[in-house]
Amino acid sequence: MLNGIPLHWFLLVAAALFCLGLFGALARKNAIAVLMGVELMLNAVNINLLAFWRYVNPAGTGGLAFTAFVFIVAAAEAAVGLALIISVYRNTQSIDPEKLDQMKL
Amino acid sequence: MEVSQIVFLILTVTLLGAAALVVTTKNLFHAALYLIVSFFSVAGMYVLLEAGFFAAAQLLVYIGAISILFIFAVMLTRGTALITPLNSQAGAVGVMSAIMFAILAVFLWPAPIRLQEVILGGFRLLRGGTYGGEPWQFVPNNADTAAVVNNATLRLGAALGDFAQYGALLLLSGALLLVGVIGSIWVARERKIADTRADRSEAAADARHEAQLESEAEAREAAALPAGAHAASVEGQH
Amino acid sequence: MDNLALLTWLIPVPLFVAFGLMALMAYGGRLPKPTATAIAMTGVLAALVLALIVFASSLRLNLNKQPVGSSFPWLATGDTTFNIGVVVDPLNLPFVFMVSLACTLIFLYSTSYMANDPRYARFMTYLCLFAGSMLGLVVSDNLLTFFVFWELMGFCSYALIGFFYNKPSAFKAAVKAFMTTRIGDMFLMLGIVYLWSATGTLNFHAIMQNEDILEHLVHEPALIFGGLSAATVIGLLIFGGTVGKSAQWPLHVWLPDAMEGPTPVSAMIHAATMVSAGVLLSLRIFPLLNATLAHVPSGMGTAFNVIGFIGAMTALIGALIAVAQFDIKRVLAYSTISQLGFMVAAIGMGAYVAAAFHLLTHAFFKALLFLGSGSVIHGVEHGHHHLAHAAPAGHAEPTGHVVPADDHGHDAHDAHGTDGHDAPSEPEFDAQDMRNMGGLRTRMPVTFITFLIGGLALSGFPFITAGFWSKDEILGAAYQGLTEGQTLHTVIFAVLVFSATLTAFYTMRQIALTFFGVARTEAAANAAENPWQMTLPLGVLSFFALFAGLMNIPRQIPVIGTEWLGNLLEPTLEASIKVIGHEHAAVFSFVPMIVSIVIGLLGLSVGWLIYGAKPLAANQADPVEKLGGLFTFLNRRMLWDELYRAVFIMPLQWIADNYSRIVDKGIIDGILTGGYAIGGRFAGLLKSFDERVVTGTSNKVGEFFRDLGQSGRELQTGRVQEYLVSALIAAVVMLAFFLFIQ
Repeated sequence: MLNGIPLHWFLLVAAALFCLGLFGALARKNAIAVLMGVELMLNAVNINLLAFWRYVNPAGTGGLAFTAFVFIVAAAEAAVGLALIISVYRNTQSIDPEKLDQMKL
Repeated sequence: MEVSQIVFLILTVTLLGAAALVVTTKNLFHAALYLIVSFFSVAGMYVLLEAGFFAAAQLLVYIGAISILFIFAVMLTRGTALITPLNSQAGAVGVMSAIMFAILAVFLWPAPIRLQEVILGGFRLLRGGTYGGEPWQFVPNNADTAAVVNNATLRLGAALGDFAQYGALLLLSGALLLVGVIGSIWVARERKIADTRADRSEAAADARHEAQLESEAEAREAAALPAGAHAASVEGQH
Repeated sequence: MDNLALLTWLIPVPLFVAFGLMALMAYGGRLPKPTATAIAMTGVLAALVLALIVFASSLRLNLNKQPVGSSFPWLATGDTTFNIGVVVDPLNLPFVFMVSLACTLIFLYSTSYMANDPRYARFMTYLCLFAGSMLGLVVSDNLLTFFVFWELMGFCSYALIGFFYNKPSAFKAAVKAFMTTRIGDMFLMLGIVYLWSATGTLNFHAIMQNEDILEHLVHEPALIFGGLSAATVIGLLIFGGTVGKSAQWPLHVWLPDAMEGPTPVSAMIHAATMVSAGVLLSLRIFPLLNATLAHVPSGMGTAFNVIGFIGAMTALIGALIAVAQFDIKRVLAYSTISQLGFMVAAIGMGAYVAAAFHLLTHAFFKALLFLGSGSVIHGVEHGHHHLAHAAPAGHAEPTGHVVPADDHGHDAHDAHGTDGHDAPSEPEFDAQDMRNMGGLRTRMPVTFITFLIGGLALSGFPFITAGFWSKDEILGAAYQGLTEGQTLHTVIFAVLVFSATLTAFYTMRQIALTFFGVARTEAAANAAENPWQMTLPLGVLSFFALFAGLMNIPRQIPVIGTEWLGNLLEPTLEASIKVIGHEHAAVFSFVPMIVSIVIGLLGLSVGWLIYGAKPLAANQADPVEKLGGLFTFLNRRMLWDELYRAVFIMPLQWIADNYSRIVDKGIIDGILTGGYAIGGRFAGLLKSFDERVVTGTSNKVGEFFRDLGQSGRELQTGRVQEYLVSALIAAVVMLAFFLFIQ
């Protein structure tokens, strides 16, 4: 099925997706949008992992296991993050990361 | 142009387009929907990569759970109207991301390409050395790999169940999930009226309103009474 | 130390004790007059008794070989030691007697004279100190203690002359006295120091009776004026002290002004004590002066020439000015100056014994005259007040001669000044002006007799007065020198003869104006005799004025010619005579005696003719004024004060003023102010440097770090996304680094 698609295509796409996600995480005014960016980054990582697994060593399971764990962690992190956002929203009526700057000396 | 290539291109366009929209759109709900679209595209990529399990897992976990979560969160945090979607450092971040992508792109491009050659040749010239590293040897698509690929999920499951390999990690991640679930339930629980600021301010507003009504009533009553009783009632109020 | 020496030590002590006691009491509280009188009289009588005992006991001794006295080491100065002590030797034996007696009489007199003065106790206190100092000086055996008492007397004279300190003329006179004698004292001090350095001792006996020392001093050239011997220079320097204290020309100007003090003070200072101390000093160093003759081929040598010249000048000037004075005390003051000139001239002629003799007799009759004048003034004052109290409204009294602007003192008047007497509406009455007197012979007989005796003694009335014999001795020495062809003696003889004539003249003038004729003022007409405290001393002194001459009548006179004083004093010159090498025998002649008789009687007669035969009436001009310009010149005291003022005082004043103004305030203060300004400017520079550079730099450093911290702090915004941007940048950099460069 992968005839004609060189590895580096996948890698480039993953890189692009990663950079987009990065942009979103850093440049958005809404915390939920930040988390969306984070999800995109994690997806890009997964693509990368699976691409390398398929093209370099499909016989191994390391890549797959890694991907699995990324899935798990991403899900947990999304849940916890969103719960936090909701709690913050309830307390401060705002979920602008720029306004949440009390964690400093 | 192979079929896979066309599919890949379509998926790329969808993916990147949706992702771009996710990070730039003002309406958060639309962003969540675009996120779902991008997830779908990623699932498609997984299919292309002959990692069917993960494609399914993507659909179930990301689209089925996480996206719903996002939508819930968006719903629950209404009232956050944004004038602009991007903050003040968006420009710098955009530039930095672009630079990062450029670096990665240059690095990731396979060996013989004139641009890379030029750049790397320049580096080589600068450094007076050679570019270390070879292009990856990727496994060609043939029957042997198909066999391997086909029982990948099985092997994954075996590896995850095998404590000598990834079993412990699986358990740990389970614990992680548990903790995460409990924590998020706790953090996002319903609070009493006085606990949350929103509720608190509402409660305060209600209280003030009530007090005002009461004092008006008192004033009407006091006007109808003789002076002595009025003083007593005023004192009593204090 | 034998008893006699002990007694000698004790002679000044009662007076110092009295002084100390009264000073303490006066300081503590009021010292009542009776107490002061008691203490003072006790002190002086005790001193008198001791002095008489010592005198009487010492008469029998051979004082030249064995002087009574003792000394003890007082101050160790390196190799040598200062000894101080007391001595009764031939020279000061008579003075012990004379000084203590005169002081006692004056004390007694003062108790009555100053009785009405509110500051009586203070007066007696000073008087005790004065008398104690004089006695201490008389018995001193060394120049150091002599000088100490000398200075003490200088202070006392200042305090006593300026006793009526409220009067400007009085305190000015006190300062003048002190300052003028100070000039003399400066020379004296130099002389003492020189003597000490040349001989290593200041003991009179050790120097004056020691021919080795005298020899050494005579042959050694002086440190200054190298042509002279050390002895000459030392002698003249020490003589400088005499010039000051004994009011010799040119330092005579203080003595007349000292009449500002109360009369007893004048008597003490100008008769018995202070001026005597000056001559006594010269007598003390006479052997040294005498020894200078060793170098002299002819004549008397530099030292004696100078001394004789000064003495003669003084005698002449004093006598001339005395003729033209109207104040009774001024006449006596100038008379004193003149007589002191006689004594100093005698010293200058080498007539040691004559000088001592005249000093002793003069002390008696001059004290008598001063006390007598005080009595006169006191009496006239009383007459004046008696009148004023009797007819308080509108006196018809002719005021007589009034006080000119600033001239005469008013001591008796001031003595009454504070008894509530209202200020007279007429001009002040001068009780001391002889023109306001007259006819007091009948009103104040005792004073008259005693004053007459004193005056005759002063004039040298033949044979019966002491003054005759002492003055004759001086003239005799002068005549002898004249016959020997000595220029100095000849000049002195002429001058002294003239001065003696004048002396007799002005004395008779004084007596006639005061006592004879008719009273020229109501005050004189009402004058009264004084109490016994004043008249008794007059009597005692007149006794001595008559008979003191007996102590040294020339042996050529039968019966009374004992030459007691001469015999006493001459042996003290043995050492100096040995240095000279030859003795100068005294040749007696009757010529000077005849001359003295003639001039004495001549002067008295002329004075009587002019003033006694035709007594002056009230407001009649004094005949002496007929001399016109000469009279004015003499009346104005030969303008010596004006001369000194113009020559010395004004330039000094000018220098002082301008120095103060230009140098001190202008230059020095200017430099200092400039220095301050420069220093201030410099300090300002340093300050600005300190502020700007030093503080500024440290501030800048601090500010830099503060700003650094501030900007560092701004990194921590608390915003997650911004932290992530930093991480992103780092990641990009590291990525590029590790991917391409590594």
